[in-house]
Amino acid sequence: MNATEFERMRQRIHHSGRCLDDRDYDGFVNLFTPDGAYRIEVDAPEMKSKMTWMTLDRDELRQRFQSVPEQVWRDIETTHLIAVDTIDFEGETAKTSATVSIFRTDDEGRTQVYAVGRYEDAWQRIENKWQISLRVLDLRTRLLPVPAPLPL
Amino acid sequence: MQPEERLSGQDRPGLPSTHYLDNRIYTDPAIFKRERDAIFAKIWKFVCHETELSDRGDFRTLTVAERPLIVVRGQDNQIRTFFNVCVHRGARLLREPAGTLVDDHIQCFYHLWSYNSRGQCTGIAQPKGYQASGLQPDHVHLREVRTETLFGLVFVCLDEETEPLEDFLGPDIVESLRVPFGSADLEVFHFHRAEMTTNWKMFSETNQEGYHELLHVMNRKTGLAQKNYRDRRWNSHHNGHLTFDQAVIGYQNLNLGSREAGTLPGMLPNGHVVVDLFPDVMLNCRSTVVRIDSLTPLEPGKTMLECRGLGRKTDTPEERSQRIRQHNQVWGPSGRNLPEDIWAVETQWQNIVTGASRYSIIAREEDWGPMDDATLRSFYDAWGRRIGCHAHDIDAPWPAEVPSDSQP
Repeated sequence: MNATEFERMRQRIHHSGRCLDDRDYDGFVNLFTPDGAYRIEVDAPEMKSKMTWMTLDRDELRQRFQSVPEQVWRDIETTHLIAVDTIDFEGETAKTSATVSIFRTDDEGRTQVYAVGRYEDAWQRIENKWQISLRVLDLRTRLLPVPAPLPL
Repeated sequence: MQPEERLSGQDRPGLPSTHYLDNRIYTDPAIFKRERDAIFAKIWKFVCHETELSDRGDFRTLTVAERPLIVVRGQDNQIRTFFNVCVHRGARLLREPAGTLVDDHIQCFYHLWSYNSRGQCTGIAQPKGYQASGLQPDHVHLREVRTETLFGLVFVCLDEETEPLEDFLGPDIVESLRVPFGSADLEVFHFHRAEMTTNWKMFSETNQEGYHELLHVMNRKTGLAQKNYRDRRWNSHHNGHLTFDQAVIGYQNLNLGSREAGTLPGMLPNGHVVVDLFPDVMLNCRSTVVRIDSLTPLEPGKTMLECRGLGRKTDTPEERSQRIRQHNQVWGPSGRNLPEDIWAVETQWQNIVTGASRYSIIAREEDWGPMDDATLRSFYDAWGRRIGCHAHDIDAPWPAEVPSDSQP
């Protein structure tokens, strides 16, 4: 893969965070392959095996976002700060790893770190476009000040 | 206006004294201390499920009534609890939230005194220094706390005088716990905590009244929309414990699939049942998965919530995956309902602590139906008797009868 392809992939990963920050939920869902899935996994000292805190396929992701207007969830502004660590291409698939910090800015303009973790993504190239077949957010933050019903 | 002002005259809601609360029960620091000493230091407090201590030497650290504790499975397979305090000079022994003892060895990091999982002192560093005073390791041991396990649920009690666990729960609750919570060979697959800016009772109330189901889209569409919803009844038991009859939930109304496969013993397909243990524990079964909530009051306006999800130990990977998915549809930090409950109780706290809201109304009467506030009245009756205080007026003499506020 050439440098252009690496840069395209890097932008794609950053775009996934930007979609969530901009509440472009359709844009986020469209990053996934038709059979793609999103998971949040957590390692905690209290548990001997890794936990799954969220697991949604692409249809469920869309449903979850569509339910936002009728739910009573705090609509808090987020900013994703993403640093892409590795990109490994293998033919029409790729694996990427990125470190993510998610900041939340409340109604009064106060910003705090909400969560940190890593995106461990599997990608497929479909019609010359890279799409996520599986995103696992390996969440390091376990004590979330406000629960997170939407993907992070 | 300050929350410390006593309700009087027209400030009162014109209801019987059992049907409203003096909001200072949430904010008053003296009440918070009385709750610590007369409730949390006296009752049997749920601390974990035995499968969280599955191997010999597994331990959890936690606090009950602000006292630091170690719960540990010993080499003899028995679960015991000790103060997490070195008897030498009071340093904290185990500082991790959970782990496994190596070689049955607990060592204080301060002066290197050692103990085993039975609480016996097994080593004193530089022992010659104690020869003159005659101190021996078998003269000192970790201070043990009463521990009982019922159907896999581990409880501790700081008070030597409190009745045994089964007496504290009473026979109705023991039976209610037997199925499904105790009969399904369960294990914990989910654990998370949330630190809430609210008083512990405000969250506890969300587990004890169905009126707030109106808050949740999930409950409105899958519960309240069911035609037999109103037939469901709460039941009041000994010591302030509660049960909520089983009802069938319409998950399909929200495209959440069905819970007809993998149901736990005693559960109907798509069934839902609740057991509330006074004062802070809710056991909740939605057909295929169990959730256990428990609370640790940190300050009058700060509460730690612990949530556990349980499924069958014998699950295949596919069954476990399905159970986790069903758990997360509603519960956990990524579920639909918890953010709404927490937001509700945090805004309650924000208002009540300013004195802007001086009383809370618990006046619904619906023959113990799903939205009856009799559950809350039952809770505050037990609460008041334990701390010696009227929930409608924390300054009213106890135990003297107080005239009804509807007839001032």
